[in-house]
Parts: sequence; C-alpha cells; structure tokens
Amino acid sequence: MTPEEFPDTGTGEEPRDALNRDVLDKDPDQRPSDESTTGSANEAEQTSDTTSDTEQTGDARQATEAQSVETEAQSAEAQTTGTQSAETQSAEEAQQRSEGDDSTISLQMDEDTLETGSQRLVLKVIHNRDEEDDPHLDELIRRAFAAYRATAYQNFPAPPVATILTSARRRSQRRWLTGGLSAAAAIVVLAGSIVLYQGSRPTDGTEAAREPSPSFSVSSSPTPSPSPPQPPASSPRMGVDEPPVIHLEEIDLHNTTITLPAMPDEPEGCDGGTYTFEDGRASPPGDYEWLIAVDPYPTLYDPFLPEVNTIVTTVGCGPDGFNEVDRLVVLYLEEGTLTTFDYVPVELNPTGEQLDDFQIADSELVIQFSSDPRSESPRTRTVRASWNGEWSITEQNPEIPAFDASSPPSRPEQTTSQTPEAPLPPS
Amino acid sequence: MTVALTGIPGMMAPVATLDEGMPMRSEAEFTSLYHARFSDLSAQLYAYVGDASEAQDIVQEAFTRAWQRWDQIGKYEDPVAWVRRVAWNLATSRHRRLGVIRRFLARSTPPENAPPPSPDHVVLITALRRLSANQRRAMVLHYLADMSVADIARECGVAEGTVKSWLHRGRAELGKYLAESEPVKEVK
Repeated sequence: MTPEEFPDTGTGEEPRDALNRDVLDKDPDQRPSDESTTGSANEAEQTSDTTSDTEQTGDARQATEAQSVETEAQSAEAQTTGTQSAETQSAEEAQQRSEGDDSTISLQMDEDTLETGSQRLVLKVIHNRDEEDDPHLDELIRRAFAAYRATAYQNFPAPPVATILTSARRRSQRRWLTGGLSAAAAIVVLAGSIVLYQGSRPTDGTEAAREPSPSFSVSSSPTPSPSPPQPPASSPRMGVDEPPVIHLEEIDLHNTTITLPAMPDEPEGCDGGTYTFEDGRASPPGDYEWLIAVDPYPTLYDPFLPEVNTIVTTVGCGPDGFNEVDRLVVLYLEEGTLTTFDYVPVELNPTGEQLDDFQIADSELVIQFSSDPRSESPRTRTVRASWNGEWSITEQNPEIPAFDASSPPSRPEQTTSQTPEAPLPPS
Repeated sequence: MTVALTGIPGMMAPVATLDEGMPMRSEAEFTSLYHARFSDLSAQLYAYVGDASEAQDIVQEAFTRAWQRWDQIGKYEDPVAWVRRVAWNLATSRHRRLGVIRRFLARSTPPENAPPPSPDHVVLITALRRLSANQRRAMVLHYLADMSVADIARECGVAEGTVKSWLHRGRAELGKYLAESEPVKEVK
C-alpha cells in the first residue's frame, strides 16, 4: 500500500498504525501493551491484597473478548475466581461498553463480591481493540483494502471534464433565466389563494426608503384558512406605526429566522420549529440541519403577483452536512414578517432522478426532473403544482424537450389533489 | 496544483481552510484536479455506496458543484477537501434514503469503458455492504482515504471513541465476512 499504488491518498502513514498511535497517545493508561498490564496490576494492588499480573479467569476473559474490551484489572479479577457476581458484572460491563462510546469506563464492584472483602475493587475497562483483533482477520482486511486501493480506481475513468463544465454552466443559465422570468410571471391560482388568505392586509404603496433586510422574526406558520387573519393595528415588531415596504429581493433568506413546519417524509430530527439560518444553514441541536435557498436552484421572488409578496424557494433537511433539497416552500411576506404558507407536496429528490429546475409557467408551478443521463432511456419528468384551497399536483412522464420557459411543457396527464402536507395551527 | 493533490487527511473543514492569500485556481487547474482525483474518489464512494454508477454520479455532481463555485472553492488550500466532503454528504444522504425509504434503485452496471471489477473487489464491496453504514463509512475513510480517527470523527460529527468503536466492530465484521469468502477463492 504505497502512494504509488494509490496516489493522493495520504501521508504514507499506515492507517492501523495511526489508529494505534491515536489510542496510545490519548491516554497512557489505555495502552494495550505490557505497560497497561503493569498499570493495572499496580491499581489492583491498591485494592486487593493478593494480585497476579498474569492470571485471568476464563469466564472474565470470555466476557471481555466477546465484547472486545479488556480490563486492566483482569489479573486482580483473577483473585475473585469463583465469584459469580464479579463475572456477571464484568459481562454486564462489557455489554455496557459495547453500547457506549467512551474510551474508558470504570466499574465499582460491591465489596461483598470479593473474596478479600476488604476493599472495593475498581475495574477499569479500556478499549484495546487492536490487541483483540484476530491477526488473521486483520491481515485479511489489510490485504483486501490494499488490493482494492491498488487497482479499483481503474474502474472509474473520469468522464470528459467538459461534461462537468457544461452541466455547471447550464445550471447557472437556468437559474438566471428562471429568475428573470419570475418577474413577468402570470397570475396563478396560488396567487389568488394567498391574496384571499392575506385578506384585508393593508397595502399602501408608500415608497419607503430601501432599508436593509430586517431580521425576520417569523410568526408560527398558519394553515391557509378561509378566515383571513386580521392585521394588527400597528406593527410592534418593526417598532413603527406603518410597516416599511419590504422588497422581497432584499430579504436574505440565507441569514434570517423562519418558522418551518416539519419536513414531510423525513425522519425524526427534521421537526418543525423556528430556525435561524446562517449562510443558508440552520443547525438546531441534534444531528440534523436545515437548508434554505439551496444552490444552484433559484428562489422565485413574487412569482405570482407583485402585491402578494410570495417567495418560492428550496428547503432541505438531513444529517449534518446535508446538501440536497427536499421540498419547495412557499413563503409570503406580511407585515414585515416572512411566514411559511406551505410546502409544495412534491418530493424534489426522488429516487433515480434529480431536480433540474422549477419555475412559474402556464399559471402553474412547474418542476422538472431528469433521470440518469447514462441510463438507457434518459428522460425528464415534469410535475405541475397549483393551489386552490388544496394542492393540485399533476405529473407528466413522457420525454419532453429541454426545459424552456418560452415553450412551457404541455398539459399534464395525471392529476392528484392534496391538502397541505403540514397542517399548521392558526396564528 | 501540487497542493490540491496532497494533504488529504486534513481535508475535513474545507470552508475553514480558505487561504485568502491564495489566488484562485484556473480552469486548467480544475481540469487537472478533476482528472487526478475523480477515479480514486469514485473508488472510495463505490466502496461505501456499493454501486459504481452511483459513485460516479456522486463524484461528478460534487465536481460540478465545485466548478459552479470555483471562484471561491479555487481559493481553498485544498479544494479536493470540499469536493470530497460534498461527495460524502451526497452519499450519506442517498444512503439515508436507502435505509429509511427503501426505494433505492439497485444498479449493477459498471461504468462505461471501464474494466469490470475484479472478483476480489466484488468480495470486498459485498462484505462492506454487510456492515452498518457508520461502520462502512469509517472503514472506507480510514483504509481508503487514509483519514485518522480524529478526522473521521470530525467528518461524521461524532466523538473519537465512537469512530474507534465503528472501526473495531467494522474490522471484526468485515474480517469475518472476508474469511467466509476465502475458501471460495481457494477452490478456484
């Protein structure tokens, strides 16, 4: 396993050696060598009046080997031969170790379990995994990976770099095109619904100075309701009598706070809540993080009607470092507050396909996917979404020309209707 | 360019490795980087996802995203770090879907114009697929990407002890599976 065999893969440091050294450097007490045996013996001597450095009880050894840990105090434990409770606890401890992540754990045994009966015996269980690895199996693994490293890369010749450059350029062009089209988008059914929802929201045409985007402390996301919320007499959040005119394009979605419903069809961890995004990511406690306005996909500002103040953008939620989009979310601006209207009930990361683009076309939200271009029959799939009290989703599967906003895809073949996936409490 | 081809183990925080003083690399450097690293990154991802086409897709996507942001990524001390991080993120995400939704399409078609995988590779990949995702990830990053326990822990956002646990159990499991396959090889 040399750098020549598999270039660019490291420092020349043997991984296993690195692991061993990592273990050794971390805590001298954890050293799996004779030093640890000596150390354990010393420790045992402090707690047991008769200690052997070499003897081990067979049962205790079985327990530790089964769970791949080794006790420093094995020799001391030997003095407790025949003490069933000690063996049981040792096994329990080993099991506990197998489920935990700590490098070291201690086990205090009841003094009644000791023959000596004079003191507590402290068993320090350490990770000594390498020492317990079967040398034969270890060698098998080394050989297998070495052989793989030496030749596997030959199975993956790089496609022409032009493929990469062209794909990236096409995405950028689509983004620009879609963004431009959004300004001239037609009236859509969704717009009407949102206008209704916003009800008597005052819409003065005051041309306020273009302030930097405020910090959008967003209210809980309401369910679209036939009874529109009444606007407050003033806008206490903004600290002025009349809310300033917020230009949607000035809202920095990557650095704002938004309340989002739970991500549909995602595992626990993508719960709804108010998330503060920084650079497009929000990392609440836990293993999951949220993304919004994910590159390279567009964010549609006011794609329906200028007065409606809607934003359609991408969101994703997944393990830390997640980098995909899951859904489109429709946000709207009301009283200086950016509020979630609903997720568009279309999965954006379906199996075997990738999201190409989305835009407003033919009075609907048109989402286009493509399959693996290397497959025998690469194709695109178009999904249309509109809102009229409930989501109407139509899907078209046949091949269609490349996404071209100037000639929107033909009418759908299948239609389904869905109510909002994430019913939201009224505000 | 040499910078991009070395220093793999220290690649886990690519955003933090932005070198303000480093000029942006050119398209030619991106191309060189791509050709130099595509294959081995794909091989690593293949060992994790178990699907050659999927692995290539993932790496290709990661390089595409890198090129889209090359004005920024190109300034990084080690742009490959960013590429690999994105690739692994994508792989992890797809694998999450495999585990949760069970809808992953199994494809076994080898990459075009590529030699078929050797029987030894198939044995290894098959054995790796029998490990848990975490164990497999740790094993691949450790044995194929030469990453230290600390780096893997940073990459996965877990404690080093957790990584050691994954590696230990992964070794035990993988060794067992490989040992099972040994008699077959001897018969041949």
